[in-house]
Amino acid sequence: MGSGLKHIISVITSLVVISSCSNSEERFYPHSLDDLRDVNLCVMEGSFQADYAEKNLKPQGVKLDYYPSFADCLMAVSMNQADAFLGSDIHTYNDAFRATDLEIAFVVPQLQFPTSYGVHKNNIELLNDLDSYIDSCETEGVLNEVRNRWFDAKNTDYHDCVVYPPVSEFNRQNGEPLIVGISGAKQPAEVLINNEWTGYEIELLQRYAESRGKSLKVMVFDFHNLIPALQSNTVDVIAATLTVTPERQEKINFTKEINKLEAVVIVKGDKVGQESFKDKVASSFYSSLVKENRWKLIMQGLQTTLIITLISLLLGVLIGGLICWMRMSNAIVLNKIASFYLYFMRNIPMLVFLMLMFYVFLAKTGLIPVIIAIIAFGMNSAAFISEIFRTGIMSVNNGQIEAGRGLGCSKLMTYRYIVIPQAIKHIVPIFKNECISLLKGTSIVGYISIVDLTKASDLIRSSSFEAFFPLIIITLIYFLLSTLLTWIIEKLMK
Amino acid sequence: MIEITNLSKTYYNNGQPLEVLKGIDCTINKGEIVSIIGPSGTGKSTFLRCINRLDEPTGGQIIFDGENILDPKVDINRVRRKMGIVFQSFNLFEHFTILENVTFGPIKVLGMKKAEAEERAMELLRTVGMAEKANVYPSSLSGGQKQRVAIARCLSMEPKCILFDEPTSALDPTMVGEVLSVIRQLASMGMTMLIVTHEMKFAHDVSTRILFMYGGGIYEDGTPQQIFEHPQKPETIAFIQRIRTLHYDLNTTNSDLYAINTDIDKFCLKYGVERQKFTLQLIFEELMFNILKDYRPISVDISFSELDYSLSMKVLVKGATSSVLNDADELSLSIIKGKSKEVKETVTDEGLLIEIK
Repeated sequence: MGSGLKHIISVITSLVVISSCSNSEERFYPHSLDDLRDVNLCVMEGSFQADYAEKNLKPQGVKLDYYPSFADCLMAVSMNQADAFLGSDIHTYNDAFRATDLEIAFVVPQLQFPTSYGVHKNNIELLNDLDSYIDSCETEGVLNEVRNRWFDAKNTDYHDCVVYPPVSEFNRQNGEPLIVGISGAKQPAEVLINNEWTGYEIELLQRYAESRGKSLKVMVFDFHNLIPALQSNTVDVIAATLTVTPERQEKINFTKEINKLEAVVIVKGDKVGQESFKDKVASSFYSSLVKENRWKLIMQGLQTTLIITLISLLLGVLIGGLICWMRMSNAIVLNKIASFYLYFMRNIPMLVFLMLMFYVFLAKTGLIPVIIAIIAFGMNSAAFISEIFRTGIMSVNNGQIEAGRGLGCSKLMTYRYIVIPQAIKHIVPIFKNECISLLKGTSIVGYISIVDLTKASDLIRSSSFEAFFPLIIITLIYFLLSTLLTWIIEKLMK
Repeated sequence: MIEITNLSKTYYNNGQPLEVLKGIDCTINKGEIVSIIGPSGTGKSTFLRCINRLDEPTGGQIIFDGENILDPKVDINRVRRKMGIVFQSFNLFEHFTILENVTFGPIKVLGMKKAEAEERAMELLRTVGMAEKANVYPSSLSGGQKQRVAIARCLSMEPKCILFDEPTSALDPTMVGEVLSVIRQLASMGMTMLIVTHEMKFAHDVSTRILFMYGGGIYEDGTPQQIFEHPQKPETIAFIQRIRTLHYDLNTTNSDLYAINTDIDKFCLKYGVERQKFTLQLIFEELMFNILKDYRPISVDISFSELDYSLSMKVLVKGATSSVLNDADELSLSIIKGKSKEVKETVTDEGLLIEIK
């Protein structure tokens, strides 16, 4: 383990060195869309700005980069990976944005859209109910009050906007859940405060749920996965400053307008050099980990990652053992089934398989995403583990089996006392690799709305617009976890 | 003790049947030490492994201790406890120490207490001279030592009989002796044993009975004296005298005699009789190119006995009824006679047989 730590330290040092180097180029400052010709413009996947840019700006020679979230787009501009970002004004009214070195270059006048909640095409009942609720809010002035509170430009901290109890507390008093899908990165419509979701759109839904005696369940997806999640009935309603566009109207229904949105072009400002390096690191550390107990989110993510890794590893060993037995059995049917299983699992990308399980195979079962992830990873690692087992068993000389049988041992006893103890010696090194790749592989569970270690860091990045600490911390944790995992396996096998 | 009736075994290789054992009948009595000898590929090992069903026979019956062990209802594991086997490649359990190798069976299979099993194991290891190495792992032993431990492991189950599958074939010549003397010791204790072996002298000295296997069956069965000193059948004689042969049928006068000459060359090289190569080729040439030039069909057998290092050539001139050599060219005949010990001509049913030694 000593050498592992040494490795970790050297990796950190090199990351710090790399990230502290910044290149100074001449500042780019556009005033209209025409100035964007030949520049790298980043947009958020699935956003209406992306659609617009694809149709109208790309033919004019604008190079488009797609990022999964608002925060990633901001960071891309901040880190000089893109020159400008075509985003929305409403997400720029917060402290975290003010703390970045970014600023709004200009507002795009031709891009103004209403936003509202999205509901499944077939769920007319919920649509009408939400519409009538929004109407009544409008007439009672509630809608304006809530909107003004969350979008008040003078706000320095969203803490002051919270008037409703946190979702977990709220749920205790209310019944059947209304499941809402959010992107988790669109403040102030969805804000994470003390690791509980709130914000303009969520507070409105909370009010709606309360009036109908329901509780609220929040699931986080990447923005472009929200509409698929709605279509597969994984969620009842989606809320992520969803812009009403004709294209989307074909797929889902929109409620009445709850807000208006303007597109803006964001570029790097000239705030550079105002703070010392030390202050920058300190404030970055504060906003990434200390502020609003964000480290707790990391810890929760760590717990989820560990649960998924360990249980799916266990499942993988069990199913893997079964598949290995089937593969080595003389029954042709079992053999064929096992071969097909291996063929399927080996050739499907893990992410695709995970999404298939979540949106297609297990969509109607009502299982929680963590269980689905465990099943998917367990099934996938089973394929590799069974092959590891088989290689291990095949590496034991047939004479050893004959000697066991010759002494009068049953087949089972021979395997238990003679073959498996010898096979394990061959298996351990490859098995360790499989465990580590499983651990690392679980970093994609964010796609099915699970907040694991990686997703936790993503969420923190999207609230703080800081990339360094959230990423470094989880890098460190992943290093420690794999070191620990291999160490435990080595100890166990001895 | 073991009654084998009509035992057969057929392998299928890509659907092509290959009959290895062709209906073997044989009875082995208590206390007998039976050596199974015969050329390679005649099914000796398969026969042995079929007796305890490590290879599954395809037909027949084996009665062991009054029970048909080929009956699918029989618990073969119980049978194998009474019928030990020692392998050519030792197959000691690599992950166990020597002591654990010998106590494994008694503890796990017979359910013996550990202390008792260890005490007995040490006794057995002393018997085979391996007590000193009780706590080392098999990988540090020589082949002969491994095989002695394997014998002790086999004895630990207190078997009623032991099957030895070429116990010395994988050993250095220097280590054969130590293993054979352990087997000899078992013989003196009255253990029933079946030994597949290539050690002729050992088989002759230790066995009470020899089975000569040839072509998937028991070809000759008798005491060591009968088999080694007075073998009855030609294949047995050829094997016992370790006779190697080269056989040709020449049916027309167009045969490629030079190719046969090259074969004779290789044959002599293979069996270390290069010095007699030219003599053999000379005799062959004189016979074929001169004396028997116009006689066809002819069959030629050139044989070499590894036991007394003698070479001989038998030529059968089919259809001939009178002496050929009498009418032969004087010069050729005198060359042949000058180069050989004995030239004999006999008229048989098939034709004229010329034997040259």
